[in-house]
Amino acid sequence: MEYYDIILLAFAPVFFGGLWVLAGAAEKYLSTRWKLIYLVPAMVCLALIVGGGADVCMVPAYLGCLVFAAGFFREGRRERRAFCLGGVLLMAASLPLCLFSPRYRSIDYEKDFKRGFEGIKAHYVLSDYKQIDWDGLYEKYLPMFRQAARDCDADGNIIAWNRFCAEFGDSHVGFSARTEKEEERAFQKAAGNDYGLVIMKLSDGSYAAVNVDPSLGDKGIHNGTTILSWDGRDPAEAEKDSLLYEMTAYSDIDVRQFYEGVFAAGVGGDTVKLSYVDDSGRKREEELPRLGNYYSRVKNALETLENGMDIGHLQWARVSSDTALLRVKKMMFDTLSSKNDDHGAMKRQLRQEIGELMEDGVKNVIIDLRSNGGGAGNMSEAIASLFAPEGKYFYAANALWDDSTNFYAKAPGGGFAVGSEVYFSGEDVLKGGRVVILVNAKCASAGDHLTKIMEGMENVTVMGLTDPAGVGQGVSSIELESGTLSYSSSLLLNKDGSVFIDAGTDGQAGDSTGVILPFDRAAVKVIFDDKEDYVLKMALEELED
Amino acid sequence: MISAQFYQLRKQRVLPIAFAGLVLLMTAIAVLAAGIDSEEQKTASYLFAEGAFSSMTMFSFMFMAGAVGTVCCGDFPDKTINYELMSGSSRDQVYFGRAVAALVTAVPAGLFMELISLGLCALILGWGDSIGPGAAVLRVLMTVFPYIRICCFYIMVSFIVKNTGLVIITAFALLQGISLLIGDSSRAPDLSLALLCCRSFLRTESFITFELDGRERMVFDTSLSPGGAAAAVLVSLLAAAAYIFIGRTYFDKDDLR
Repeated sequence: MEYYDIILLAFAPVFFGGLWVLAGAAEKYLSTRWKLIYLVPAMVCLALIVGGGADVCMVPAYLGCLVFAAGFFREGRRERRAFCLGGVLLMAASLPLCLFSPRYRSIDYEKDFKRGFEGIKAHYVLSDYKQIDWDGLYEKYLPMFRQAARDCDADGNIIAWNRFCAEFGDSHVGFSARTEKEEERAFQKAAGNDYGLVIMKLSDGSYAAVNVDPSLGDKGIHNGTTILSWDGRDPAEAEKDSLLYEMTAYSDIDVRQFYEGVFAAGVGGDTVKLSYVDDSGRKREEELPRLGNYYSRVKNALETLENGMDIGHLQWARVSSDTALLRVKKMMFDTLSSKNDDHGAMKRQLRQEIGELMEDGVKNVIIDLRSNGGGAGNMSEAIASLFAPEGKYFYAANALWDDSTNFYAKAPGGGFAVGSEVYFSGEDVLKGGRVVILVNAKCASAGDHLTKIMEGMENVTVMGLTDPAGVGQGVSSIELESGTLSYSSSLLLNKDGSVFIDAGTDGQAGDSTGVILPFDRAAVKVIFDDKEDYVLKMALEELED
Repeated sequence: MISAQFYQLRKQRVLPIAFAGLVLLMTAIAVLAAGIDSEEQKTASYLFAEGAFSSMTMFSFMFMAGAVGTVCCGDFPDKTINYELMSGSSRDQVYFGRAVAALVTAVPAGLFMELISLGLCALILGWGDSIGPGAAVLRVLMTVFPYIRICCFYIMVSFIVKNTGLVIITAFALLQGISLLIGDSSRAPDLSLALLCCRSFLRTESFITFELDGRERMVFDTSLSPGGAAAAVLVSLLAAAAYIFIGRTYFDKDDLR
């Protein structure tokens, strides 16, 4: 129970006892000030509401305090004592409600959704660009939140929010629950059953098992086994029955296609029928029993696939005689740089470190941006300016703001009007050396920015299993009772006024991976069996070539 | 009865001086908050929209406490109220005569404090375009209902404590107590207190957009929710009626000692 409510209910016997005794005493005293004590319960109640908020289960207690106050208006001892009794009984009625009702201090998820919906509808900057059907979304999702409110279902609320956010095709639109524990629990609820494997689509269009449980070994199923169907259906079709599938946003259509089928192996009842090709080339069909919850298996598989090099942020690793790797886990250096939007100190540090490495024989650098969730665009600019060949480069343009409409100005021919343009200069710190940038689908936001501004440079190759996430706008958030809703709110443009990076209705983001590495059985073996860094291996081969 | 109170108010000097002083103080605080002469000096409309004036309502509240206390408590020490009752005036006449005079004095004074300091800020800093002047004035005028509510509360307190100084101290103590209770994250419903009601009228929702070079832009949503406003008006008037009724009930049997 909330401690403000405990305090108020604990006062109930005190109010009752004190005012019961005073009922007679007040008559004996000539001063009328004694009567004011009957107003004390109402004043204490108001103070506790101000401190802790009100709740519907505490309404009997609030009414009880008002009933106590009736003693102020009536003179007779018996009347006052009757009001005391009524007041304490009403207050006592709140206790079982607070202890046993699921509605006690529960969040009104429907109201929370309406508030978040109004906020994002008013300020989402890509609304027209992505042709968002706001009325359709409201009609579709309001019943889910209404149901969650009715059932006091916190998991249902988180699942509904994630499904709502996935509709935008924008990884910047997302919902974070109040705690990681709540989030984890909801995702586990949505994940479905674990049958001992995860299915992933290979570059040739076939499906393979990955992260396979050892218990399936006697059936001839292991990492790389060709999967033909899941419960009689193509995995890409089967996964559409998965809540996790509906909760996952992809900003780029190519990234979505890479991950087709990954949630299929969580769909099913107590058993599922798996069709596959065993090691001897024979087609087989096996019934797999449910082993547990699918969430940890698919999360583990994706983390194995998506992890970058396991060293600290902005740390170096010597990966060959002439190549060093710089791990950039997020676009953040320190609080001062973020606050002042000035990464001069970071540049100086990196310049010095690169100088020392070059004296030791390093010619090339691999910048590992895998799973870089973004941060300050100024840091992307700082890194790009260090490694870019000498010259002036366009970064992006700020969209022009229209004070009269309180939104970004539109250009006469369609699209948005361009405001100030941002450029940077390259200093070619490697003096002609090569740069390889490693990306994956979780490389987003300012990570997308760095990819975009460097992808065309003559000394740069961008490599990965997929394109980066494909989101580049500035982000704002709305604090809700049940969590935080974030969305794209600040517009960035290309020189021609088109939207910087983010995909429109065609699903094609504006940045891309120059070299898409094949995700084949050889890659599956290296990643899931040998537990080695397949992408880094390929990057080193690229540099040697 | 009411005329007599206005006559007394016209003769005393403390309230006008306090009014002028508080207006100047509010203006000075707002101008300092705007960062005058700095590169990023804020305009009056920006200050209003971001809620600077909502946090200065405490000055209006303190002045109204003083005004109500002066009108309602001024005749207790010299027993003027006792003589009025002995000369045939009813308790209702005595109570409501002073209550009406207090409301008619304090509420407009509180409103004018806000409006005049806002106007002075606009003259010094320029109005700007964060919120239209009409929208700002409308929001200030809506605070008349929570002001009526708080003045009725002060009237009730006045007839209980019968001392102007104690009314002012009570108002100050309550403001401090509320600030402590609310803290940084308030779960208190806006309708629960007149102060919170006022603040909901005098601040707007806002969000930030930012540019690639780090510049931020605060955008304000200046629309007033009709439902919220109606609820605030209704609750304020109900609470005001309750305070007046409590005060009247107390005064009815009070031995005036």
